[in-house]
Amino acid sequence: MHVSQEREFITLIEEHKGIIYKVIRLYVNHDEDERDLMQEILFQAWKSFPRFDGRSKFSTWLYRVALNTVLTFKRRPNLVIPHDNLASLNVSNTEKRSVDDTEALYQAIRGLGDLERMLITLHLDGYENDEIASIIGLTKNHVAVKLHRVKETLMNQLNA
Amino acid sequence: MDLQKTWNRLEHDKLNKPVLGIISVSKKSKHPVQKLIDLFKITLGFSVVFEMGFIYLLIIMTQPIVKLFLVIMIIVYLFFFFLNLKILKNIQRTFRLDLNLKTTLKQVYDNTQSTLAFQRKSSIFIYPLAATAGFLMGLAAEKDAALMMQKWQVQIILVIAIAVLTPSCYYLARWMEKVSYGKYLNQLHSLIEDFERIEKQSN
Repeated sequence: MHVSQEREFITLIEEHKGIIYKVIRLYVNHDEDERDLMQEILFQAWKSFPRFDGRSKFSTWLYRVALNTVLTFKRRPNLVIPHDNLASLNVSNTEKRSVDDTEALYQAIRGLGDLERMLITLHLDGYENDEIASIIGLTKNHVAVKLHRVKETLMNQLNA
Repeated sequence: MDLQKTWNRLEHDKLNKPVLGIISVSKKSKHPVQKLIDLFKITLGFSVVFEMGFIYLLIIMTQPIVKLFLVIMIIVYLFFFFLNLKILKNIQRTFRLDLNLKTTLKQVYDNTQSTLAFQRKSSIFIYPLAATAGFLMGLAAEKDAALMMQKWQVQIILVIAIAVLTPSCYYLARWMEKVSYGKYLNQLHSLIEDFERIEKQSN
C-alpha cells in the first residue's frame, strides 16, 4: 500500500470507526474478544482496502468487512438469553416497564441468531433490502421475508 | 415502541462507545480461514522437507529398484506440492471479507474440502508405494533388495506390511486432518448452513 493510500485508509477509518464499535458491541461480550475483533476487522479492512474501488460508499464497504469478520471469527459464546426464551422469563409487569426501552432492544437484538442480528442491524441503520442482500449474499426476497419475521419477533418481545 | 427511534437512541447511548485498550493493526490474523491458509503453508513446508529427504536418499542409495521407488515418491510429492500450492492460491484469492460472505465462505469451504477429499482418496494408492519404498530401503541396507524380493517369504512380509500400514496410515491421516483442519471447516460449514436455513425458512 502506498503512503498516500495508507493516509487515506487511516482518515477513513477514523471517520467511520463508529461502525466497527457498533458491530463489536452487538456481537461481543468479553473485553479480550472486543480487542481481538477490533484488530481483526482493522486487519481485514487494511488487507482489502487496495481493492476498494469506491463504487459503494466507504461506510457500506466497512460495514460489510466488519460484519463478515465478526460472523466468521471465533468468539466466546454469548451470555445473552436466546430470544425464544425471553418471552417465558418470569418478569413482573412493573419490572418490565422499568427496563429501559433501549436496553430491552439491545438485549433482544443480541438474543437473535448471528444472521438475523446482521439483517436487523443493517435495516435499522437505513440500508435498503437490495444492499443488505448484496452484503450478506441472500436474495432480496429472502431478506424481505426474513426481515419481516425478525421485526415481528422483536416487536412481540418488546411489547410483551 | 418505535423500533427506529429506540435504535437511534441505542446507537447514541451504547453502540458507539469506543472499544477500550490499545488497538493496533496487527499483521497476524486469528481468523479461521487464515488458520486454514496457515495449515496449507505448513503442509507445503513439510512436502519440501520430505522431498529433500527423498532426494538425499536417492543420492545415497545405490540399488536401482530402491532408486525407482524413490523417484516415484518424489514425483508423487511434487504433484501434491503443486496441488496444495494451487489450492492455497485459490483460497487466498477467494478469501475476501469485503465481498459477498456466503459466496466467499462456500468457495473457501468447497476448495478445501475437495482437495482434502482428493488427497484422502489418492493416499490409498500412495501408502502402498511408500511402504514398499521403505521396505526396499530396509532390505537394501543389508542385501540386494531386487534379489531378496524374488523370495516368496519376503513378498508375503511386504504384502502384510502393506495391508497393515495402508489402513493405519489412512486413519491416522484422517484423524490428523480432523484435528488440524476440522474445527475451522466445521465453523465455516455451520455458517453456510445458517445461510441455507434462512433461505429455506423464507421460501
